[in-house]
Amino acid sequence: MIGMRFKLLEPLTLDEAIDFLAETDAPILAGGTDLLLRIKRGLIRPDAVLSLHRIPALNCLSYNAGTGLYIGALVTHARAAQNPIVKEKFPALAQACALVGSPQIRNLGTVVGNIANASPAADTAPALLALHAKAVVRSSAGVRQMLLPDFFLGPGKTCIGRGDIIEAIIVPEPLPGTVSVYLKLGRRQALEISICGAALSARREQDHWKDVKLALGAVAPTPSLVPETASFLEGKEWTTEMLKKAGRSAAAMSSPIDDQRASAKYRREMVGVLVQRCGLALIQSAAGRSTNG
Amino acid sequence: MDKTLVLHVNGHERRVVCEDGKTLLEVLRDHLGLKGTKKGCDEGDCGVCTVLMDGQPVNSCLVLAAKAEGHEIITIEGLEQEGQLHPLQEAFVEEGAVQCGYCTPGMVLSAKALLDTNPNPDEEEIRHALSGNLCRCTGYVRIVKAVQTAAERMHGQG
Repeated sequence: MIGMRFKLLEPLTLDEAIDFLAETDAPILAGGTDLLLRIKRGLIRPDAVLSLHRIPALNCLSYNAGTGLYIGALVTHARAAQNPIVKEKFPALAQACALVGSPQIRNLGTVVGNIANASPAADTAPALLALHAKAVVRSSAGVRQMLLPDFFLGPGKTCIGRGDIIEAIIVPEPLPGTVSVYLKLGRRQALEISICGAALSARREQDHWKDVKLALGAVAPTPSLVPETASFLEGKEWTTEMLKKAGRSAAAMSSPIDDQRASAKYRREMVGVLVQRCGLALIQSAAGRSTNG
Repeated sequence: MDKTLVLHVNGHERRVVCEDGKTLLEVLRDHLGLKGTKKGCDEGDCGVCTVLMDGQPVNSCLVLAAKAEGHEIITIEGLEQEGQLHPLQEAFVEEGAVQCGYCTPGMVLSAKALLDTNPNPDEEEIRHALSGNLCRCTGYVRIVKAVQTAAERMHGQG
């Protein structure tokens, strides 16, 4: 590993950061668990890095019953995973954050940074997609919001351009009775890039499931929603046979590659397995809630 | 591009002059002479560089020194109090949890963070807390035992 050399820009406010970014194309540093790695490996050699760590407003993790969850750019995976509201109302996100890296990585890495880095295998992405999250992006031109499917363009590529900062992620208030889950498959218990990740969100209405959203990670160029499979599950009771079919449908929609972690064939098969397990987890979760009253 | 930083390390204020790109790991070892924190993979995958920042374990190889300002940093050297080893350190020695010793400082600090919030962890919780610290020598069994022994001793005194 080479020692890093760059000028560190440390704005005290978001406006100051935006001003800096108008003058320089310095990469933005939040937790550092992705960016500093790329610099150390010599993949990028920036003259300057812009760190957000002195902007306290970006540390905000808040919930409002009307608007939902607000996750500022400096909120770490550990904070999100341990937050009682996130665990109760957005369990897929809490579970995803709890599966990133290791305890040490989770204490540094941020949820916003995870999507900004845009690995196809990013753990928080499928959960955020299934939960209908949006990115709040600020530049000198103002603030805009975008749904995550529009945000991811390809492996490591987002629609974030020069001069942009992702200020926060917002996750809307889920409809009453919504349950969600994120499952990750890796070769190890920790410090693992996902071989396949699946997030499922839905709510019970009498005898069937509504507002179904399914998202997959690590089996396509970007983390992606699978609307065809979600439609198949929509408005229905989920039998074992249905979940198997849904698994096969999602697997057919995926486009995994062979890499050092797993073969495309194995990944495709695992999509089927994880989708079924997600379905079973939601069934159990809803049953648990109804007995709790 | 040198900056003067004021870091709070092991209960003391330390003034450091260093380049912008320096990590907390480099500053601890090369500027403050605290060699207990080790450099291994230098990319956040092995955990030998683990220090506690405001009580939470982090990979110091991924923390820029400037970012450590304003936070309380504890290294392995900070565990001993007036010549008295921390119960975790004693337990690691007694239980034979130290072979080459390279992973040990990081392991002990991750374990300390666990016991500070969960005084009576079960084996699964211990292994989960240590999941960011790799050991190539021991096979982890005695490390887990050492944490359990320390927990009993600390909990018993609580």
